[in-house]
Amino acid sequence: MRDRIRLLAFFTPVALAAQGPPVRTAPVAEPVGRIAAVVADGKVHLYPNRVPSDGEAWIIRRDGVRITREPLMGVQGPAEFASVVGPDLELIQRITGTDNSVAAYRRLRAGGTAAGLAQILSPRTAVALGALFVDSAVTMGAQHTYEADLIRRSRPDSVLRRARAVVRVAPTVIPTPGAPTARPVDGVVSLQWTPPRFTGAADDPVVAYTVERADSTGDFTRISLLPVMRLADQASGHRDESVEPGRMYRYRLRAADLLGRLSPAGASVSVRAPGERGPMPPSEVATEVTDGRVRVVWTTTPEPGARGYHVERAVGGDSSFARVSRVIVGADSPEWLDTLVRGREVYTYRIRTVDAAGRAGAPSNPTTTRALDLKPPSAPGAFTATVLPGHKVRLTWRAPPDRDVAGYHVQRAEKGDTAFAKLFGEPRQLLAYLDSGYDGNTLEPGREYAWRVTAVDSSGNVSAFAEQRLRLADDEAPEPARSLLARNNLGRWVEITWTSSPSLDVVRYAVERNAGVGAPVVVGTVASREALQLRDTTAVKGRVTTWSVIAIDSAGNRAVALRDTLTFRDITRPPAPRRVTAVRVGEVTTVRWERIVSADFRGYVVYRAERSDGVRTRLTATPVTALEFIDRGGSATARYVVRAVDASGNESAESPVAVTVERQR
Amino acid sequence: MKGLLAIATALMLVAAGPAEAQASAPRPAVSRPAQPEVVDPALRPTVDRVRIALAAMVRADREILPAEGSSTLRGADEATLQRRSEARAQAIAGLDTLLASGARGRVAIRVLVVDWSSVDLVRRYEVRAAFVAHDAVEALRLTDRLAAAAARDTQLIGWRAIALDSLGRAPDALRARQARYELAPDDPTAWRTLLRAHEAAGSLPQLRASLGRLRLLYPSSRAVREHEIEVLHRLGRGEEAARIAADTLGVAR
Repeated sequence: MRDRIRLLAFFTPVALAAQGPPVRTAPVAEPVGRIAAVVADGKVHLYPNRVPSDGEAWIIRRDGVRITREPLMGVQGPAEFASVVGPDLELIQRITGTDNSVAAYRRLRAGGTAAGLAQILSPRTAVALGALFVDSAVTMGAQHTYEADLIRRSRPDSVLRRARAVVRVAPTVIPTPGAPTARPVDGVVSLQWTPPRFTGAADDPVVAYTVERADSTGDFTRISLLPVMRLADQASGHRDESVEPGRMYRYRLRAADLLGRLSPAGASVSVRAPGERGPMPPSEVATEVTDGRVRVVWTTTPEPGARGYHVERAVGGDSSFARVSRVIVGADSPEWLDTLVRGREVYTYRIRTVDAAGRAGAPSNPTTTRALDLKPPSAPGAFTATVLPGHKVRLTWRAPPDRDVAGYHVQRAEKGDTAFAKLFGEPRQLLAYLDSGYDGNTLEPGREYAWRVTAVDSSGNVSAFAEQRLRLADDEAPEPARSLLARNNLGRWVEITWTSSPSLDVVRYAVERNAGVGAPVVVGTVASREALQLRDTTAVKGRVTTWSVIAIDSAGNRAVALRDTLTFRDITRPPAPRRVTAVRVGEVTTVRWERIVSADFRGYVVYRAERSDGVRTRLTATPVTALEFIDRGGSATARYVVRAVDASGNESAESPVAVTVERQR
Repeated sequence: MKGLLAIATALMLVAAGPAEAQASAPRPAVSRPAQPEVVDPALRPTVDRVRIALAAMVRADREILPAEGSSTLRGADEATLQRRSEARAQAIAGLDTLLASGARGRVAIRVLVVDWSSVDLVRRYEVRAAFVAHDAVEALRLTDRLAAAAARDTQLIGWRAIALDSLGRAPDALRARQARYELAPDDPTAWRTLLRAHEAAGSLPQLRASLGRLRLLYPSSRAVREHEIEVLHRLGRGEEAARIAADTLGVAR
């Protein structure tokens, strides 16, 4: 855990992000980083910002000229690693906590703090990892621009990453650190110091610190066995547990660069060790995760007067610890089972030793783990579905008793569906949901739906489902039919055609006719699956008539009528009247004719002329149905003709001309 | 008498040579006895040799320590380390001689402790002298005082266990041995003494349980697994032992 905390600023992504503007000279897969450069002994030591992985290598250029004859890729296996590292192998094994070169090599290839430390303490290791190139062909005082391209060895033209640095060949000065703050904490001396913000520039070469201690008058000795890595924009610290109670001590720091060179010592700070040292914490803490439980174990304390332990826990990566062991854990049973964990939550544990007086000492190094939960929560209870106006459905349920429920999924299916569809992607913390249909366009009336609700816990375990089914009442009129056309078919019938309603539940269409007199008459009905047309053979000719088509759905809901208007006529003239006579008695002429026979007969129209071929003057404004007409304005020489008129307004041919015959009264 | 001793000590330091040794004049860390003890004349040459060796050790340590402006994180050069190693060997040889000299040697060591209290090596010989004299009470007291600044020192914890055993405090001794083993499970001596102690106490099942816990704490330690296998065999649980053995082969591969 300590290793993971003490991330070396230079090697962290945070530091990379702060390494100046990118240089865009060629498209690369990743942003441009900075080469860390240290000038020492007239040579420039270049650290590209990543250890090349298997199959990768660095190519380095100085002022545009390639200076790596062979790509910089490090050693090819543990045997070569041991050969290159040579006398530093023991040191590297100590840093990596391994006991052989194979394991050490694997640890270093994995990167992290151990790899960073090893590079600082052993340039041989940096060379072995392909992370260091020394340019010795430089002149003091010159300035050079270095560029490093990380390539795939199989495809040298593919640049995975690019790094850059402008270096003036002058000895790198390691700045002297300031004095740390020192205070007695938990029976030991705690040191802290805050490095300046990491810039990654050439004048910011510090990557680690060493801590030195002296008593009130003696010499300083180094007490940090390994360098304390500089953190990316965070305070660094060291805890001195090897102090004699009540003794006065002085502490000071030195800064280290990438080559492991140290700065002059910084100013010192004095502090008196606590009069009584608190009981030392366990040296090792580990966890074992099982379903719903975290077992915390630690090493037995070497403290002679230890009574037991306190277990402290922080949740979710937070650094605020709280004691979770209610009673003191016995000194001879250094383990504790945490059953109050939520799946996938991150927990950090640390242990304090408690002495016979009940005094708790300094906390141990923390250990972090992620809890595991394989048990699904119970299904939600009391699931109900209630129809609301507007074809919406309100779903409600009750939370299951499980403590780690992270949310719920609501799913819906229609009758005939083979699977349920989730109504939202991620589980939501809610106990009611208003289903407004797809995209909020409301649910389809008349359809049967099923809903399922499941609880999801923090580990992603899904409960059994609770289900409700419901058919929505169909109380909504369908959409009207489209494109209605009433067409006169040669006066023989009216052809009515239309296109279907967009509503899918229309089962038939009713066709009505309204000739303006009385109630509309149903002409007929057409099933929606048949050809959408109707022949109206009973329409009244010559009258303005409106036809309506009404879509009707399966529930009997009627759509708004679609209308078209037409005056139905035929083109066949009625027969001309015959035997027309005109008898004048006094000043009155009576014109008579014989009845004609026509199905759509409407009346007769009488015309008068002064000559047989003269201009006809219409005497009847509207057709008359009688078989005679009294003309009081005719002369004794007037001629008369009569025409028959049918319902469509067709006039017959003229009757034979009738010459006025005078008779005495 | 007290003044004479101080003068004699100073003279011997000058004889030892280095100015550095004078600069770091030893400071007493332990209270002087009411009546200063006198070194047996027969042992004086040995005591002087030890003083010279200790002075050389201090001088080598000074060279190993970082010097202003020129230090690095890397270790000292081989020659310095060699000088220190030789000085330490000479000091140990002399201290062993004193240790073998019984009560007189113990007095001589105590005198050396007064003058070289900052040298851990001498203070540890004071503990060993107490053990040789079968003075378990004093051995425990001295051990605990050393352990105050080095609570996780496995040698000190081991001595504490021995002293506690001598005092008839077997449960406390067992816990100390358990703690010592858990700090360094690869140490064969720590394991053997712990195993014997548990066998004597009839608490092998408890030892087996602690080894299961240690497997979590030291997942890559082959020693812990081998020790667990050994305990399981002694408990007659061969199948479990075989299973862990197979698992251990996987770890070691």
